[in-house]
Amino acid sequence: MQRLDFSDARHLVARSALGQEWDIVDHLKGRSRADAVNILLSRKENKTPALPAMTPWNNIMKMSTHSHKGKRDARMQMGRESVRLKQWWMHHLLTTKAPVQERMTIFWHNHFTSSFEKVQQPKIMYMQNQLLRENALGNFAVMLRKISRDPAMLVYLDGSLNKKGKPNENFARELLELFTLGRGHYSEADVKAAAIAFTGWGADRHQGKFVYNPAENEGKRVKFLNQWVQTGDQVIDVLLKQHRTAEHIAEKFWHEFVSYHRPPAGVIRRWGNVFRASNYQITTLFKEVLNSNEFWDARYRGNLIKSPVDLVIGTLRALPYPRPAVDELVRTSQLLGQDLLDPPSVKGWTGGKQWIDTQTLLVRTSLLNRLTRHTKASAHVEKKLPNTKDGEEVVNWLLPRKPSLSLPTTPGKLRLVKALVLDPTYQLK
Amino acid sequence: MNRREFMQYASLAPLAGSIPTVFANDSSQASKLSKSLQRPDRIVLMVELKGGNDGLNTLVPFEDELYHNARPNIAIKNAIPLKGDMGINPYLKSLLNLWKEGDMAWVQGVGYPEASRSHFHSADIWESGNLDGKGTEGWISKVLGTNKSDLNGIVLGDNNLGPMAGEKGRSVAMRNSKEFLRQTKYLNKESFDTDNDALGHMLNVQNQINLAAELLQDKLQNAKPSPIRFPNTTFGRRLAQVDKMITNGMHLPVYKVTLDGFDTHANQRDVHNNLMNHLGSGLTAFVKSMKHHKLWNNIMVVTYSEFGRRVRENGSFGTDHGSGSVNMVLGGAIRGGLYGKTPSLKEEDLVNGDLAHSVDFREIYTTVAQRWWKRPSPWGQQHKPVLFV
Repeated sequence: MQRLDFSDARHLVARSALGQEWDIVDHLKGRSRADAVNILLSRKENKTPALPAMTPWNNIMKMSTHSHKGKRDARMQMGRESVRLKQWWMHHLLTTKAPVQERMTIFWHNHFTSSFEKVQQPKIMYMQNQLLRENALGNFAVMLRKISRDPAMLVYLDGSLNKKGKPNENFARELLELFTLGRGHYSEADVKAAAIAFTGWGADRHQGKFVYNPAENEGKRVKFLNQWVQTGDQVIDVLLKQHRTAEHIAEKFWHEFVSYHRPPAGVIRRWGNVFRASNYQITTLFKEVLNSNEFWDARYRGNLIKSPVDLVIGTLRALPYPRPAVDELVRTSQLLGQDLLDPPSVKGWTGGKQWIDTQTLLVRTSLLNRLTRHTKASAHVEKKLPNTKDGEEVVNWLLPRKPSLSLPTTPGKLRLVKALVLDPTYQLK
Repeated sequence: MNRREFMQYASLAPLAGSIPTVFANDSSQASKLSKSLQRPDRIVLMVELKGGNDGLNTLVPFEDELYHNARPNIAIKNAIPLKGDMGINPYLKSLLNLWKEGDMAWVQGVGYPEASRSHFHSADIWESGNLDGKGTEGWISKVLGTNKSDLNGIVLGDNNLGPMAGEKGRSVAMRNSKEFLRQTKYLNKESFDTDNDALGHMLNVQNQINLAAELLQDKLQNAKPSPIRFPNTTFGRRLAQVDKMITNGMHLPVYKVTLDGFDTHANQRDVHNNLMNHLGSGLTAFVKSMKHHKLWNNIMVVTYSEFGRRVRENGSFGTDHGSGSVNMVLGGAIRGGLYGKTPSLKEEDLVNGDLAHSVDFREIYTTVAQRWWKRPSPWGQQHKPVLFV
């Protein structure tokens, strides 16, 4: 049986957790692939920090009914609370004991997107975030049904405006294009039919609850993907029976965990089948991916660009540099192009090579320069670095392939780590 | 030929001999050409109206009963007449003088066959110029090609290079020039060898940043403050940045700014009018400055959006994704007017409830390539130019 060496263990951790923490990498070294994956994916306690205060929706409405000023005050109030919620998540990402689950929460946030910008109300955005967290390693079919009833989603994609005689296609279109089948596997008529089936689905923003109003439902049968359906749930039933739904998710896993290049069709068919056969158990698909030969293939090692969260959170979790305040980390992540809870569009973050452009490369390098510069705390940082005499191992810990620039010739742990963090190869995973 | 046209052709004349028929690469031909592009001959400002601009409420068929019937709640009732049955959104009023001066053109009924109603896919199509939306190279990158020593353009405000994207696109995006320059000092200046795709991308980005930094350093170090006030909106501030660069001698072939928020599924009227106001007031300041600096004949402003919207309003006082829309073109050297056929709103003429298109969007690009930049069209003879210039 093949055992993981130190580099293999780093590869697995860097791609599926939040940063390659030395202790975890060291713990997985020497184990079989399957064992290491099982350990990494085992259930961990994931208690979130105390929530910031959030004004109830009825109060917000009261504030905004009377005057323009009241409206503005209400908007500002929600804006401030949204920022605090972003900081809350950032804090959790830094400290969680369940980094794999949090990575997957971000993965699903990038799949079932919603944004403060549109939804505005922090409370229901928090509820969606918690829904994604609870189901991140759970069941996709269950999550899909829950997200279709999720108040933030109903607001974000105008589902709550989709009413009898006045269909609004926004949710129906993204359900097909982004959440399940992917473009090219349905017709415009299917979008229209799905919108009709979902009429009457809405949200009570004060209670943070799904509301179904039968009076606003079309109450008629429509032909959707060649089958007669009448309700939104039946639309979801049909979607979950399509091979494409599982394959679409499998493709997303490929791009997230293996490569930006097109996946071989055979791999996606295999992963899709495994996923469907498990009745959409996310952990089953995830294990299939992490145990696949493709995931371990040398061709695909060190070819993914770290996301802003990988870079910021991953660096701070793995290395003992002084941690900037969370409000600053939120701003930095925004500048790096990943403003969590405010994705750029319903499609989420494109990621891949697009993480690095002429703006973000500059932010990346100045951030890392700042973290690694010499300060009064440096002696303390040096003490907390892993205790190894083997410089080679330090290189293998921090870089997924050989350094791009030459390394310092003067010895010194701090100096070596700094050079590695500032090397262009550090941007890869 | 009127005086302006004459001047325009006159200014093009010295260039005629140096235009290569193939895309420039690393040759003396290329550097000659790039020098010529450094002169304020022909600058394009691309304005992306992101989210899918409602063409019908921008260039309004205000005399058409069918228009008002289809949009009982959101039709524009006080459009400013331009010509015949067509008028512009009243919130674009500040641009009206340009129409009178012949510096404003509208191309109507613009689209492509089997229009995609997906924001992303359709934006990819518009920006790449490929009907399948595939390929990472933007249409402007295809037209301008690449050379080692010069930049093609700058995107101000966000990081979507869009039509200027591509490994060889030679364009950079920045939030603003000050921050950009402050940050470049930390950037690695050393080159390195790599066979890794992602690292190759990074190295390419690094080189472009260093190029842009040199240029900005050189041109903006002693920049004069503009006498023209720009509106204090996101869009206005982005335009002010472009203005500062152009008026201080950064005569790159292309700049791009974005105005976001056009995905008006609900309560469209106020939202869209507000956006029109941002667009109008921002561009008015920009035009004023270009005129003040005697650069107006060297500028062409071109708007684009990923799609238009449905003819019929939806139940939420908004409009859903549609197809067939309008592009606005402004410039001191253009031929103002209405181009393209006004699309019919008759039920039987609509395509699934959307406007039929009569002008392929690549005809506009062909015009910009051939008649403005004097470059070959990436599509050869396939698309005829629209004669707004």
